[in-house]
Amino acid sequence: MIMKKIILSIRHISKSFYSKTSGNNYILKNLDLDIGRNQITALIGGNGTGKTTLFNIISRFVEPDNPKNAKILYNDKNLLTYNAYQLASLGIGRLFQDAHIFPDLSILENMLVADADMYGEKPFENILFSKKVRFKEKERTEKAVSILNELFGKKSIFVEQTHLPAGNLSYGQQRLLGLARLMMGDYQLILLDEPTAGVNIKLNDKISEIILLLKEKGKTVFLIEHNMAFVRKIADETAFMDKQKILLKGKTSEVLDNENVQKNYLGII
Amino acid sequence: MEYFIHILIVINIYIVLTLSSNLLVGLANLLSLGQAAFYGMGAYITALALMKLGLSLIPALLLAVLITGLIAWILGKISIRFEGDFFVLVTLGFQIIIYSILYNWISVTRGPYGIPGIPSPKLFSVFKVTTIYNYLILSSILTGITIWFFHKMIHSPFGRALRAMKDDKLALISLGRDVNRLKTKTFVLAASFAAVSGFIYAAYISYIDPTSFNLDESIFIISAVLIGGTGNIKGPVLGAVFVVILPEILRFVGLPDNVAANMRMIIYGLSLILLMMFRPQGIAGVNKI
Repeated sequence: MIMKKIILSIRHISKSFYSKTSGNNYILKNLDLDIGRNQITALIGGNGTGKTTLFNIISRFVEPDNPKNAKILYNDKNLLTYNAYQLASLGIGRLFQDAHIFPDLSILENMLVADADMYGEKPFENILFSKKVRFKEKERTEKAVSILNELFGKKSIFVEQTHLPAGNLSYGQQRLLGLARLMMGDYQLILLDEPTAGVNIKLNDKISEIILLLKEKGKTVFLIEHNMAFVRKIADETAFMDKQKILLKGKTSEVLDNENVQKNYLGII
Repeated sequence: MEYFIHILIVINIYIVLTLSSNLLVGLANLLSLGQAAFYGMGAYITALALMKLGLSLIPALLLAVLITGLIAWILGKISIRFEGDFFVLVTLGFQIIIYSILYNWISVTRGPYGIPGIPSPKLFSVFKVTTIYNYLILSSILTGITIWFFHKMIHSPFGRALRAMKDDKLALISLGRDVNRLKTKTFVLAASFAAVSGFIYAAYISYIDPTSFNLDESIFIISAVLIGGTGNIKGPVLGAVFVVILPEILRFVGLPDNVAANMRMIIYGLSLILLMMFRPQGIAGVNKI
């Protein structure tokens, strides 16, 4: 099968919020965007320009104003006809702006619950087919430990203390766990909402390392980011969003060096 | 001796009830005020199955569990669309409706008069469960199966998914889990096990009336779960033991019955307040409310 170069094609997306005083306030208006396969694309723009809203629409947590005219084609499937929970099985994973790990679950359990294979999650499977469930759990655990090992090393807290409740990790570590968790799923497209937000410089490097590893494994990464040095370091392409649309998209260096972007967003000129 | 055996049977009934409620409150974070309604459904279906249909023990039990589960599935489809306080209020609505049906559908339930003379169930049409010792064995077996089932479930991928849902629903959806389906399954399971309690109750007491399954009973079940603690097996079991034994202890202390009844309610209330203040996870639970 010939794989298309574009993995995600977003067409005519509009989203507004109504207020009594000012009527319909458009966050996104007729927005179009294509995301290339097996590359890292960054989405940049000022606060409140609708980047996370766009991610929420792609992930099906928010409905666009015009679901009949709008399209979000992912491998020729219109995501607007799917429910949010179905996206993972289509191959779309997401990291939220906040950590969104499961604090009462251990590090290992956070990984296990993210496995693409959900065998054992039906109540009676565990009673009727307990042997198979145990086997699957063993497989899952090996996969999780191997991922944690590959990403963080044997001496890391993630491997040495797999039974530590994830809520005991620092915020930065929780972000890393969120990223590691994405590797348990069988994802082709990964949406990352500000992966470096609230994370120190040392962990930033680790995050960029993981994202580059995801790309190396053939994944497509679409991320929102405010850290321009980070974007310049890892993103193949960048889209600049302002005034409810994508105003500019191209190679990262070209977009970040663009006069309009520097003046209106980066405030350099 | 029979008095102690009676207490043990009642404890068994409440262990099944608190474990079923723990599934909702402790694992899935769904505070349901309708658990007594399913308990009642199980009891009434058992009574009718034994009296009108002449079923033996296992078919009557299965019928009670299946019909209650089916009704819970329909109600669950409606209620799981609501979150937090709204869910509580919807289940409160179910509780009131089902209680009203039990109270007013006189041709079937005999309304406030209740159903007396429920016959003892027969096992395989041969052995009749009649003596209090038989009921102790029967209720202990059903309680044992319930404990075993919930223990397996808590430590299974299903239990893990429930705990994850309690922590962060949005993240679980993004990982491909259908949270609404997960909640519905939980709701149906909890109702089905409440029906098991209803079965034991109807068969053992041999008389049922709607007042045993009203809102007070639902609150009582939740109180037992919260006092014992949620999220594991130990907590709800201890909660059940506590709420059943407490009035008996008060009786032994020598308090007159009318005073003991009020004292019992004061102690339950006080226990809840003190636990929320000093031990929000209950006596032996793992989750803080």
